[in-house]
Amino acid sequence: MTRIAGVRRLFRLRTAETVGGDVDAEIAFHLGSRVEELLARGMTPEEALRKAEEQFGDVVEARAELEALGRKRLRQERRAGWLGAVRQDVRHALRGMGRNVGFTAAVVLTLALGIGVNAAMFGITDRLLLRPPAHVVDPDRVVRGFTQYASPSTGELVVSAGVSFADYLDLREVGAFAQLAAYSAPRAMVVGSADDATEVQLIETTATYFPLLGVRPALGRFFAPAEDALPRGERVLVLRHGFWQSRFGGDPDVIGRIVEIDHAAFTVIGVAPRGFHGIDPAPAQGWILSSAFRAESWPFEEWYTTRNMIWLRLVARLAPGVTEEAARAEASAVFAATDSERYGEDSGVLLGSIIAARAPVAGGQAAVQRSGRIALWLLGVSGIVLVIACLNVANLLLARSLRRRREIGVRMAMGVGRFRLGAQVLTETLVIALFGAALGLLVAHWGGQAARSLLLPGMEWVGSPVDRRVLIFAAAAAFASALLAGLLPALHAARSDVLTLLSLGGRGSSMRRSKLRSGLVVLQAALSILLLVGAGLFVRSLQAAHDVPLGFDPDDVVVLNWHDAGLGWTNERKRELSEQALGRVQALPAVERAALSQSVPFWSMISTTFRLPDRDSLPRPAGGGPFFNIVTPDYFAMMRSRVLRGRAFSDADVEGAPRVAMVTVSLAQLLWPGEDALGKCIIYAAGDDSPCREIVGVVEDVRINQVESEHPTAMVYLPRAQAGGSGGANLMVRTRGDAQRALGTIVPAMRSLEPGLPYVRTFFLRDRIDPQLQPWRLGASLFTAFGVLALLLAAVGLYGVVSYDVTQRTREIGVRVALGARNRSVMANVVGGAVRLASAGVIGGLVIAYLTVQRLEPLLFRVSPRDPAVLLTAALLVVVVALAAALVPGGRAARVQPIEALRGE
Amino acid sequence: MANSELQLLQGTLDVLVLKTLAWGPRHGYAIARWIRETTEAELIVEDRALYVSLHRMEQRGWVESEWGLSENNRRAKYYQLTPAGRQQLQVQAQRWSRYAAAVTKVLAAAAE
Repeated sequence: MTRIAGVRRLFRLRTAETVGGDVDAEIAFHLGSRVEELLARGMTPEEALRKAEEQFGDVVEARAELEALGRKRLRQERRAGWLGAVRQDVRHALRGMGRNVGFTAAVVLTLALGIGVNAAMFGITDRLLLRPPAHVVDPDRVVRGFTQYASPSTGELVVSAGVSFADYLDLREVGAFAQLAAYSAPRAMVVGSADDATEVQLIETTATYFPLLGVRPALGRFFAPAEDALPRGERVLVLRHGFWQSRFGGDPDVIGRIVEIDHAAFTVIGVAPRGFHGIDPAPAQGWILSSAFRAESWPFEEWYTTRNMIWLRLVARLAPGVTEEAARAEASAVFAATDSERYGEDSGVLLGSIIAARAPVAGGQAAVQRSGRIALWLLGVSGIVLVIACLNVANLLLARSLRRRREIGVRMAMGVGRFRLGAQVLTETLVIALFGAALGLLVAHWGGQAARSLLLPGMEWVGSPVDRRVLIFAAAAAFASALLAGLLPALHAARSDVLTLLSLGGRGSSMRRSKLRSGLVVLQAALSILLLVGAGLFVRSLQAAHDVPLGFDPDDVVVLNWHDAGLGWTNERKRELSEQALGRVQALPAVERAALSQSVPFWSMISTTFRLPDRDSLPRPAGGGPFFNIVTPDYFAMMRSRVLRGRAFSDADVEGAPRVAMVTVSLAQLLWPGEDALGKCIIYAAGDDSPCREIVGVVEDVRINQVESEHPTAMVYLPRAQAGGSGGANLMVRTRGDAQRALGTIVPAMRSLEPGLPYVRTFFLRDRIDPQLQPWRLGASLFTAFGVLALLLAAVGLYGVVSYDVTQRTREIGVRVALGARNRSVMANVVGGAVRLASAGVIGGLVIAYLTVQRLEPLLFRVSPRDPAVLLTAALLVVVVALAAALVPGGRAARVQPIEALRGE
Repeated sequence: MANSELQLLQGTLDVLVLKTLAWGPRHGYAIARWIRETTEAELIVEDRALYVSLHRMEQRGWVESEWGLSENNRRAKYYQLTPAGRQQLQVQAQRWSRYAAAVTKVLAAAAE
């Protein structure tokens, strides 16, 4: 008998049927041998058989027992065989990885980048759009409310997130809502007093807000219903966890502390749990009752009955068993009944999930919406990066399997099945992908943190960007990429033919495979083009947004004003202080120019009406308005707005002098088409006897609200000295040198006017405009990052293919050189091939981009999605990078020595 | 108690079978004969119990089996020790010696 049990076992087929037979045969052999032995001792056959059976024991029972054991072992063996194969494959994979560290590193890094970038983007999108706000109990029953009505001016149906307090009170009657709450967008309020004062964002709510969401306080309590009384609620304050930590050092005794908010004393009653920052992803530091704040800050008592002021948003919890549709119908009926003449027949209420991705079209949240949409796009884009990474890995694996052809051939000859060979390749890819995913989580951690601060700065993010859901996503991405990257090489391994493999050995023609690998490179180039085109479009959008003529230069302009809310200053006092401050600040060396201005671009606008003496009606400016501003003479010089005709205001334009005004150029053309606006007269104010104001200057057009707006804002300017009752104003300063340092001298100068002056609010004009550019900046930076990553990966892929090709063709090249081919032509041949591949990809990519990129249009700014310059630049970039990637192997080809090449075999 | 006695017997039989196989592969019949002859028929082992022991140990991975030809040219199932079985034999043999020594000591002391 042979001892090579292991090998023999490979060939032995054991099935359930043979188990019984084996037992029978074994028992039969035993009994037979025993009988023979006993016969030899001289027993009769009958005696011998009886004795043998007696010594054996119950044969039938023994048989059953042994057979059961055999079956059990069979099952065990099968399981072990399968596990063993997997274990063997994994071991094989690990050994392979260890043997070729460079290759492994390249593949793992590639996948780590691809998976990491995706996990990071998924983490952001998930938190932003796919998940309800943290700490909300049973979020499926919580809905946001929106109103829908015909716009009074255009008649179009508009959807609005905003309601008045009166609307909220009415909708409270809706029985389908178990609870209803209203809350405001975060608004800047000053917390503290004097030197201790800071500006923070607070949300106004109703007392129902926290109980409705089911949020539990981390400390103290939330608002009590009795505190939310009309017309005046209690001055109580709930802190956000992060604010409690940063401002109060996490002091547990903070409950009961008095905090001054807008110069009124509020009592801290509670701290929200960590990570809760409200329903919308807009950062706020705390919550106060609308009824406490409004009663204080509004000059009229009817703040809760008027429908003119719309500043609240609605959130409701549906009553048990009520469908969203039924609730919507009931709420719509209530809403329509409250004010049908105002909103028209079609008015109603829309309900939507508090999960951002499932909310209906929501007006008033455009910025968040755009960031959200861009986040979704970026998730898709990062998916493309992962696909490119997978293609790269597939390419590398194919290249390696070509190098290992002989090994594969030997294994097949030894009887390793095609299925096992394919499974082996897949297992190997999976092991590599899991390593990639592990490393990718690091990428996701750092990338996620960067992306968080880029996408939504100021939001309280709790925990690492890598959480359980991101982990699951990364694992899924690893499996998907293993499948994507490993399938082609696995199929190849399984399709291999022993004879060809062995006879070709380590070299020979491999046309089909190299075609396949070239195809992968072409695909990579095409995908890179897509990303680069996207990057280009966003860069151009950002550029276009930057280049929008604002009509002033916002850089280095600081806006300052006193936070006098709740102090009851008279207009007299405001005016006096403003003018004193201007005088004081103007004299500072860090100040280039300063002016007082009633409104500040991108911060406040004052709309107005005026008349022309000889006309009944005036044409409406396309960009809305007109708006007006009251300024001191230096305003235009300080803003660097050009005065196109006439003059700017001067110190001579005072009360008693002829009354003057200035207009923007497009308003001048609208009012007096084809005529000179200078010397024309406008009547500013309601009464018929108002004196005429002469236009003394025409200033360039400005945009003061939306960078994107198509039309400039129509503006009328009045000199401050002739504007009668105007009180306080914003002090606007163009600083000289470092703006931060300048602020350090300006603010003390303002505060030193008088002891006990309130907090001075300061901001840079640029900071009011920049958030509007944020979506494009975001798109530009991330698309560019992903595009460059994709391009690099594609370049590596191309390099791999060309380099391998050169190695394979060394002999052929040697022959060519021997036959007189010049080095340069050899190189041109190699590089040309690479560029041809890249070009094929470029053409494919351009076609795909041309067909699909249209969908990006709503996110772009003044750029056609088919912008030829962008398409051309992307194409050129890919070709140039391909050229660069091919130069190294090309150079190697050119240096091939014919003798060595031929001897090398 | 009957159960633990049975286990003890089972364990005893296992170590005997393992020891038998320590010299090389054998079929079940040869093992039975060898035990019977070596113990000079003082240990009466039912053949059935021997086979159950063999099969159980095969399932545990202590022995492995394959079909071969016997001395008289008949198909027989041969068993041989696996490395795990060899180790098991060592462990169990040691335990047995200690056990036997301890029991002997007690009995000797009682005799004094």
